[in-house]
Order: sequence, then C-alpha cells, then structure tokens
Amino acid sequence: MTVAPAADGATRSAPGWPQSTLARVGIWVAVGVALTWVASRLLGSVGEFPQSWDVGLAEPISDARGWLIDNQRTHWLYTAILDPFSDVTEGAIEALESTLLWIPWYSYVGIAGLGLWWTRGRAAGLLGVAGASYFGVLDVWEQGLSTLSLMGVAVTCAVVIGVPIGVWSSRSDRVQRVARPVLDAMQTFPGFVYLIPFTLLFSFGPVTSLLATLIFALPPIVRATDLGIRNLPPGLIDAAAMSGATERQTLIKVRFPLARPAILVGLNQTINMALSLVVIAALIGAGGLGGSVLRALQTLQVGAAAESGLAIVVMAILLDRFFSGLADPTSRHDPARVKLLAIAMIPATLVGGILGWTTFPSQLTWSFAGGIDRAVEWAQVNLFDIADSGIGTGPFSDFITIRFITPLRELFAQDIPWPVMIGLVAAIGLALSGWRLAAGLAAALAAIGLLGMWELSMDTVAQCIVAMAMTLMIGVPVGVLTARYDRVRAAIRPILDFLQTIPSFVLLVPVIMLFNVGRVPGIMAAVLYALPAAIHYTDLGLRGVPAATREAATSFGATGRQRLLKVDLPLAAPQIMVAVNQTIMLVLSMVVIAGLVGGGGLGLETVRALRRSDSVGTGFEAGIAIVLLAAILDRVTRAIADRLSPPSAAR
Amino acid sequence: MNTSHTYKGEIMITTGPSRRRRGRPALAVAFVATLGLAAAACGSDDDAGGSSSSGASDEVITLAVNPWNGSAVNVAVAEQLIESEIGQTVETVEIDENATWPAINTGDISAALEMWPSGHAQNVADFIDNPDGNVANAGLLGPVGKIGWYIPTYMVEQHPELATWEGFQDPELAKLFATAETGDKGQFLGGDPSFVQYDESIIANLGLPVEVVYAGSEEAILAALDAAYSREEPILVYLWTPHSAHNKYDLTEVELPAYTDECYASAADGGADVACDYPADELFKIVSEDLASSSPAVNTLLTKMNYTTADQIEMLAAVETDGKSIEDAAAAWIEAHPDTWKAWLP
Repeated sequence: MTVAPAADGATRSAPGWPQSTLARVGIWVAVGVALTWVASRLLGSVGEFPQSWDVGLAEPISDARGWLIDNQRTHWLYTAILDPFSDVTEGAIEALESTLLWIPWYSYVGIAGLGLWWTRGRAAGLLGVAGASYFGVLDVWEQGLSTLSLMGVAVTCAVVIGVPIGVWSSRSDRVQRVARPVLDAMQTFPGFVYLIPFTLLFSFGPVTSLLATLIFALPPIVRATDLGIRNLPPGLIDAAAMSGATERQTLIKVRFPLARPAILVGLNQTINMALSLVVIAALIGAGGLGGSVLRALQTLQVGAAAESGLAIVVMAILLDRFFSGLADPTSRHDPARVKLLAIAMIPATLVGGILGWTTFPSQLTWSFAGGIDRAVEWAQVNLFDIADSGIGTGPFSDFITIRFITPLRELFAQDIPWPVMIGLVAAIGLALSGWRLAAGLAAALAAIGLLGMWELSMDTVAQCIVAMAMTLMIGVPVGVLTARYDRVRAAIRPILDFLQTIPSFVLLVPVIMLFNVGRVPGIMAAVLYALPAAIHYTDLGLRGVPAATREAATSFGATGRQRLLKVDLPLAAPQIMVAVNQTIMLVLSMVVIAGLVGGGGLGLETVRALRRSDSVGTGFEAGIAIVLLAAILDRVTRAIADRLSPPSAAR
Repeated sequence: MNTSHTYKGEIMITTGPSRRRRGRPALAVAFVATLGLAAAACGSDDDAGGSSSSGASDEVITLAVNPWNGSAVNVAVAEQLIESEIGQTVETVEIDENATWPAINTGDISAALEMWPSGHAQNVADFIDNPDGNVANAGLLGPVGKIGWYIPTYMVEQHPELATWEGFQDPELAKLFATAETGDKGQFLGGDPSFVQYDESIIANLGLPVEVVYAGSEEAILAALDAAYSREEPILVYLWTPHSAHNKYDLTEVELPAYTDECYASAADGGADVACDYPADELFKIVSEDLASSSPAVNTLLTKMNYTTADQIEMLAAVETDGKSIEDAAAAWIEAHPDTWKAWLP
C-alpha cells in the first residue's frame, strides 16, 4: 500500500500534495461522475431494490420471540442458566449499591479529591472535590451512586472479560481477524433494538441494563489490550526470551506490565462508553441519573434534565482525568501526603458509615434548572427567526433541508439506481485498495438491499454526509487553531468534554425547539456529538508535524498561511482522515437519536423496535443495516487514510 | 518534539523501565480499600412467599410506572391503598411500557395499571391470549383515551374551516402547515411509534394535500408543539386525551369522519382503507397470573380498581398545574373520594 513517491526527491523534505497525484485524483473523480451519470441514465428503469429478494429476517426473529415468551417460565434454559445468572448479577449490583450508599458523602468528596491530587496534582484535586460536591449540591446524590454502582459492575465485567480476550487476540492474528468485525458490530448496532429482546431473556432491571452496557463498553478495552501488547518494542521481548523466560512468564512479567498504560487508556474509553449508555439503560428500569433525565424530558423540563445530564458529564470527567493520570506512571504528586490523608479517611469513613452520615447536607443544595428553562424558552422564541429577518435557526434549518439533505437523498435513493450505486462503491474500493475491498464493499451494500433497507439506508447516508460535512467544516478549522494556540486548546477542552459526554437525550428537546422536527435536529445533535473527535484528531495531526519541517518551510520564506496549506495540512492528512473516520462513526451512532426527533430513515425503524413488540424483527434488520453502513464507510475512509500516509508510515 | 501519539490510534506506549512503577502499590491499595470498604457489608432484602389467612402476604408488590404522569398517579393511588389497607410493601419501577410485558410475564413486576389497547395488540396476543402467557387482563381502569388530530385553537380562530378535515382539503389552508420537509403540502406531525397510526391512510383516502412526518417520540411532538405554540405558528399534530399537554396549551381536535367498524375493517392488515377517526381507547390494567395465588388481596384490589377520567384529571391537574408531587396528589384524591376506593377493597 505505497503511494508512488513524487517525481523528484526534493519534495520529500518539503512535502506537499504532489501535483500529479492531485491531477490523477481529479481525473478519477471526473470519470467516476461521468460513468455514474451515464449508467444511471441507462439503468434508470431498474426501479427500487427488488422486494422479492428480501431475505426477511423479521419473520424468524418474531418466531424466536414467541418461543421465548412461551418458555420464559419453564424451560431449563431459564430455570438452570438465565434465572440464576440474573439473580447473582442483580445481587452483586444491589450489594454494591447499598455499600456505596452506606459510605458517608464526605468520603466521596475526599476520594475524588485525593485521587486526582495523587495522579494529576493539587489543582486537579480541587476539581475532584468540586465535582463530587456537584452531586450533593444538585441533589442527585442517590441517583449518582446508583449509576456509579451499575457502571462499576459493568466496567469490572468489561475488564474481566475484555483483557483476556485482548491478550488472546494479541497472540493470534486469526483471533484478531474474527474479533475485529464483531467488536465493530457491538459498537455500531443500536442498543434500542436489543433492549426489549433482552428483557425477554433476563427480565427487566439491572441485569439487562448491565448487558446492554457491556456490549457497548467492551470493545475499547479489548482493542487497547490487543494493541498495547502487540506494539511493544521487540527488543524487550527478545531480552526476556534470552534471559530464559517462558512464553507465559514473558506475558505476565514483561508484556503485561509494559502494556499497562495502554490498557488503562482503553479502560478509560470503556468507562466513557458505559456512561454514554446510562440513559438508554434507564429505559428498562435501571433508574439512576438516566432515569432522572428521561423523567424530566417527558414534561419538557430541559433544565432538570440538564442537571442530571451534567452529573453524568461530571462523573465522566472525574473518572477520565483520574484514569488518564493513572495511565502515566511518571505523573504522581505528593504521594506521602496523599497516602497519609487516604489512611486518615478510613476511620472517618467507618465512623460516618456507622453513624449514618450518608446524605449530603440539604441546606447546601441549589438548582439552576429554572435558569436553563428560561434560556431555552428565550432561545426558541428569539433565535428561531431573529426579528423576522429570515436569519435564525429556523431559516437555517429550512435552508439545509431544502438545499442539501433532500437533494442528496433524492440523488442516492432515486437518481442513482441501486446497481449503479453498488458498482460505484465497488469502484471506489478498487481504486483505493484492490479487489478484496471492492468485493467486500459491494457485498455489504447488496446485503443492505437484501434486508429490505435500501431506501431507508440511502436516506440515512444522505443525513450522515451532511452531518459529517458540517462537523468537519467546523472541526478542522478549530483543530488548526487549537494546534497553534495552547491557550485556545485549554479553553475549549471543557466544552469538548461536555459535548462528548452530555447524554444526547438532553439535547433532543432544545434541538427540536430551535430547528423544527425533521432531519436537521438529528443532524445538529450528531454534529455536536462528533465535533470533539474531529477537533481532537486534527489537532493531533498538526501537532505531529515535525518541528524541523515547519522551520524549514519558514526559512524558505513560506508565510503562515502557505505553510499551513502546503506543509502542515498535507503532512497531517492521514490523521485528519482519522478525524473523518471517527466523525462518521460517531455520526452513525446518532442515527437512532435522529429517529427520535423526526429524522426518519433507519433510526425510526430502530425506535419502532423499542416501542412496538411487533417491530422487533424489522428493528434488527435496520440495526444490521446500520452496522453494514458503518463498516462500509469505515473501510473506505481507512483506505483513504492509508493512501495518504507517507510510505514510511504505511502499514 | 512531542510524538507520543501515533497514527495507529491514540494509545500511548511508554517504554520506560518498568521497575519505577512497582513503587506505590501500598498507596493504590489504601485508595482502593477506601472505595471498596465493606463490600461484604451488604444487606439485600429478599423476602418472599408466605401468605396469611386474610389474603394479605408479606410478598413485596412491584408496580410498573410507565413514562407518563397518568400511569404514575394510578400507581401512586394503588401503592398507598395497598400499603395502608392491605399492609403489603410496594416497590415501583420506572420502565418503558413495552419492556413491562415480559417482566410481568415472569412475575418480576406484579402489575401495570394503564395500558392503551391501540398500541398493544401484539402484546395482548402474545402474553394474555397465549395459553403459555402468564399475564392476565385485570379489567378496565375507567378513563377512556382517544387519539386524534390537534391544532392550536388560535389556528381555528384565524381559519374556522380548519376545525374539520374538510378545511384541510383546501391546498392554500393546508399549505399554512407546510415545512421544509413537506414542501408545498401541509405537514402532519405523526407520533411516537408506540401508538397505532393510520394517518397516512386517512390522508390518502380523504385526498388531503398533507404529508406525514414522523416525530419519532412523544418528547419530540411535545417539543415541536411547545415551540410552535410559543411562536404562534401553525402546527398539526397527532395527540391524545387524556394528556398533560391539554393543561398547558389550548388545542382543538380536528373533526374527522366519525368512526365506524366498517371503516376500520382493514385495520388488522395495516389499515390501508381507513378513512375515519380513531376509535376510543379503553385503558386497561394487566397483572401477573401469579398474583392471584401469592397475594390474593392485592390481586382483588387491582382488578376492582376503576375510576373515571375526571378522577384521573383531578390528580393530573394537581401535579401539572399546581406543581404538587405525584404522591401528594394521590393522597389528596384518596382523602377526598373514600367511596370510590372503598369499593375496591377485598
């Protein structure tokens, strides 16, 4: 997978996009567009994807559901396996929750403060104290602990299951090949679809919530363990082998400790994923902070929903800062003092717990829900169409719908016949990589048609493309700014953390109020959610540009702008493609949310699966279509990234 | 130069000597010990079985609170009566209505008190009519629901023709409701997929220049309604009574051709021929079949429980307009209407 090196060697040291490559890409695109147009004209009469080809997964899934209902109380599968499993797990979660509720409130404040002090320094310690107090001040203490205990069990399970799988997959390429698509599917298959079937297997409540969380949160830790162990410098492993260590000894004594920082980074992502499922878990009785969010939204209390949603953000930020600090073994602060205080907290905790000082003092509580409600009310009246000038969120929404989303949908779903679409995608695969990618992409796209999801998928793709374009149009320039100015980066970091972890449900009501029901509010929610990743990877890519190269460009007389366009951005291109890739994945994960705000497409089908028992089968089909779309877009963007990387960095 | 982030992902590999890290296990242990203190000191209260002669047992009754206030006030009334009059403990679970059915089937939830028949034909067939199902129909709750088309009353004041469906035949009037999603046609905001919706058929069969856009959730309908209302804009939505929105906004139901059984003949196969109004929804209760043997007194109370739409609205108004808690509203109703609930006692 090497890009043909540019003609003369000099461009190597001061690289840019080789003119010849640009021209070639331009020709390819022009030829592709022309061929697509001709083929579409010729095949214009093909019509919709043939319904008779529909493989119809809906029927067998409905049958399976019927069997489960009939046997839910008597079959050995339940009495011998599922029920005991549910009971034990539920017992563990409840035990943890009652333990957490027994610990006095000030111990949490202390633990959060000391943990962050130890791993990141004093200022972070103060952040910990403030963050933990938030739960008490906003009076969501018990909900927070309930969420924390479910999270605790889910994350523990993820580590216990995920790390061994990761180790296994790092030792065998075959295992990795099998595991990778499964992990991808686990992350992209919408939880809404399996929530109700899960209640048939495990009944309602913590166990079902736990499993749903686990499915979503397991992949990062498996991937991180795998990568962490694989990417160790071979020299150290050889040294271990030379000193007579067995394979197992090497694994336990050398590989594992060395990979620990990487695994901790994975754990961090696992925690974030688990927290992002808190609201969905509440749909099946998990309660906690997610329950508060849902309850508030039913009566459009955006402020109350935001308070609970922000509690989830705070929890995510505290855990993120702690574990990312922990992952860096060189960053430890005042260990002696922290240790002393931690030991002093043990008797304080015991005394408080025995005396029942568990609840946060109620005179310290405060609420900002009213303020947010008033702000939202003000915004929906005043920002929708500012002074009837035709400028505002409403006209903006109409503009995007009429000019971009609808034409794109018509292009994909009507103007380009399905065989041409499949051919086009295969051709892209062929141009980027080779026959294998082409065949895979074509098969995946055809499978979407066979599931009877062609039109809905094209609708969803059109929305995703608009969301992605908007995300990159905002994200890449902001990433350029943060890469250049550390101060900007520090200033927007909390905003990015907020956007990434605020439960999307909280945004549902405000985006509708501002942008009207339809496809735009879902797109806006997706943009907000995907923006942090786009900014982050652009920033990473630009910061990775070697300083020497930049200085060379400057000394050759390049202006700041020339350097950015001709040197920095081309060099950061592979990393920016990672930004594109991540943006697409995150946008696709918001398809379901789009279904909740009038976006239609595949999202509405998955919502239907949650809401109506007779739609579970169709929901599964839509879910699989989402997984396949994600796989197609992921492979394409990764192939582009591979072509953009300079030969030395190509895999 | 900071190149610790590689292209392959943002995983940072530190290759420094590993012995440095071995230094602080004690601190980590102390930290974790504080967290996990007394993980053994758990007390899960698992009290099952054992019934006394009066029909009361010490079984804990679990009632499903589905995500709307009507469901919550029903449950609050039942909860308070079961605890005070029968003496059994009640737990409540907030849960999606569709997830409620399997949980009642296993007996993990004892009952749900407000099911809308229009949304649950499949569940009724699978869990109640099915001989292997373990859910029993516990009779009608009393309040009668009705799905319909609603517009803000200010729209009727400006265009009185819009009070009936015939008004929407006029393309100019229908166009008032147009959005970017529907172009020249009027937009009908379809609802939460948990309810039966024949609006596409109704619109097609009546030949209205209107197009359905599915809001996808009740929250979305309400947010859209709130936004349109606050800006005094046209909006045509799928909504139902009883619903808290009627306390907050002045809405008028658009009159559709009256419901007939013939008009709904095709409803079972997707309703392609439906061209009339929705039928009334008689809200009903469901209980676990186990309840009759494990807690007969509670089973009797829940089965007999029945009040009027006015009773329910009395509590909903207390909650939604006077800002009372669900519990207080239920307690006030119990206080004021002993004759009604005394009849439910075993």
